[in-house]
Amino acid sequence: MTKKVFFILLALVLAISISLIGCTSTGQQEEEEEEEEPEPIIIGLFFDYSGMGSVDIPYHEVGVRLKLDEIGWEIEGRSIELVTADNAGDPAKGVESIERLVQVDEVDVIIGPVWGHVQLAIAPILAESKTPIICPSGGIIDVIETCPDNFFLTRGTFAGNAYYSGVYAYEEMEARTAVILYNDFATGESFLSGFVTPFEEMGGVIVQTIKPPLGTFDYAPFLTDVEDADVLAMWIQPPELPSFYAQYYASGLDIPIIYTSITAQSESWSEVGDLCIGTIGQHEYSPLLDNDENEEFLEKVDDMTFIDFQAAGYTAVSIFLEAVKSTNGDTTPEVINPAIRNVSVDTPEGRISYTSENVGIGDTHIMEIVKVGDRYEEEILKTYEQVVRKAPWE
Amino acid sequence: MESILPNLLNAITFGFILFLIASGLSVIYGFMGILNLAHGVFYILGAYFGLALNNYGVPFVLASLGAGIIVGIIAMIVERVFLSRLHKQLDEQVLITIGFVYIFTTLARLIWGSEAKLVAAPAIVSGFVNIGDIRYPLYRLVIIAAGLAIAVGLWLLTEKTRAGSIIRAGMDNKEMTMALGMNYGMVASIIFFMGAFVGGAAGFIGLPIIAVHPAIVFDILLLSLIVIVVGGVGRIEGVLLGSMVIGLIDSLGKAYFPDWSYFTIYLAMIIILLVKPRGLLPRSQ
Repeated sequence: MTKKVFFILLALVLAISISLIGCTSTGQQEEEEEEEEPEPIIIGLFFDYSGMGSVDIPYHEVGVRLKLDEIGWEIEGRSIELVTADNAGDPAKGVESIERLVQVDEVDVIIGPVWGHVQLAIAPILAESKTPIICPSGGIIDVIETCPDNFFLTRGTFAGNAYYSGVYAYEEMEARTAVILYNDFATGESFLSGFVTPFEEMGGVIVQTIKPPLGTFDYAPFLTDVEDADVLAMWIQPPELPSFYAQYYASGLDIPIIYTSITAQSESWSEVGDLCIGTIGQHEYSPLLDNDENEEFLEKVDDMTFIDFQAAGYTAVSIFLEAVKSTNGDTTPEVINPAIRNVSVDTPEGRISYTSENVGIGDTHIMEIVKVGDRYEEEILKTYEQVVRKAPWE
Repeated sequence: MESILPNLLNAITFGFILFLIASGLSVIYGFMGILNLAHGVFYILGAYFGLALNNYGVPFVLASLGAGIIVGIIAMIVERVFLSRLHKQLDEQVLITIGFVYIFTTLARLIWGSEAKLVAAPAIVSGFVNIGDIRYPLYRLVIIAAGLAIAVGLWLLTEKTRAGSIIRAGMDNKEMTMALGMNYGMVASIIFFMGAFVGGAAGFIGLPIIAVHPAIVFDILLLSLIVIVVGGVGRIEGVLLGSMVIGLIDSLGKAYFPDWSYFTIYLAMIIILLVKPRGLLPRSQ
């Protein structure tokens, strides 16, 4: 064999070997692709992990984890991962964190935030990314205008969260006059407008409006000249409730109190003490709600601390999972957003669905603060079933 | 106008609450030249420690004193370890005390939570007294009495004792005072303890009226600063006068001009400072 033939044969052997290796590796790659697990679903939790709300608001996460434990952290063949991002109750920090969730973590859904000013700040970013965001507790209607496709307000708006307290005061308590008192800022005004508008439309009269500034230490000066009325409708921040109640009764006042939207939880009421018993207000959830899902939920709960936020987190992730089921696991925004909008699911706070503009539809309740054991809970006095959780004028 | 008397009493009570809050800051700043922005933290820590002691069954008055002592000891450690090295270095004092605000506020939030906490007044001073035609909460009158007692005590301490004269001398010339053989460091620690003690005790004494939660730290600090700026730095009489002026303007403003209540005290402060730039009763130089 000449050298020339030897090199030709060697070249052929090498060429065939290389092509065979190539074919084999392509086959292996195809097999690997076939066997490769689908991408996990990433849920971004976007709450106040620092700042003023860091003690209570992260309890939403406890509720989310309860639900994910229940389903084994998997749905439609896709595993589920959680990432958290801190908004600190601050719009600037919120924008920074939401950009990370959307651009770096590439989350499939965001659950949170609680504060309206943070919701407003992040809405433009989400309007662009189309990442679905499910707000579990409270909301501000303006975000719907900025981000109409993917911003879901499960518990509706501040005014909607107080609307039926005005209806109830007039129709059931037969109140015809009211003094209103609220912390003088946008959220306080929204909560009171929810009460005032239906109350006045039905014929009630507001005899006095008192607007203490946010952060009032001493309510006594505001309470020396309160006019006589059938009810006192008020909304002040939960941290100010202990001072308010103590000074209200120390001033000799005894007008029945309507806390238009019960944003305080048992932990806040316990600081007020028995003075809060008998307070009436509107809210979407109470551990005393009588439905199967709530019963099952409460059985899984280890610790009742900030139970309302736990229930809200559990509800929000239940809504998302129901939507994922309906899309057979497809979480691309153009598929999952309409699916969330079309969800109708039973949760601890009752059946939840959304309007075409992404505002929650569900039960809302008039409740009275009662003492159950050593906890202050909300007993249901009347349920307004399956209402759109916003005020009619919004 | 039938509410004039309760409104006046509310205003005086609030003035004395302000005095209790601000006097500690004034003592520390006025006599030692340390701008202690952590004073609001001393106030809330006092409220929390007092509450904890009270929950363990310690009577109200002893819980107030205990809270003041615990806060005073914490403050003394802060003063000895950090602030004593920053004499007349205002920028550094501001930075380090602001740092302590965040550290202690976060610790308070972790230990006691962010829920507002209130305590009932002791049974013996709860309830109402009849003053003319009105029924007025008795505890508010107790606040007035406590404020007066503390004002007299602080005035005696700073004006009529040897420690007070050493500190006043040290404020003017620390090196000269030390050269005369005075143990300025020890007296400074005692004064710092006293300022923090009053702030801490005030936190618990005010607790039946003003609920405590970590977020009020800066509100407390702001009110304290306004009072000592209006009253004049370095004199207990100035703090008392500043507290009364601000308390009256704030409370009566809220009662009769509630829509202006956000800025009545700031307006008053601006006007007073335009007329008396060093405050109503400044320390003579």
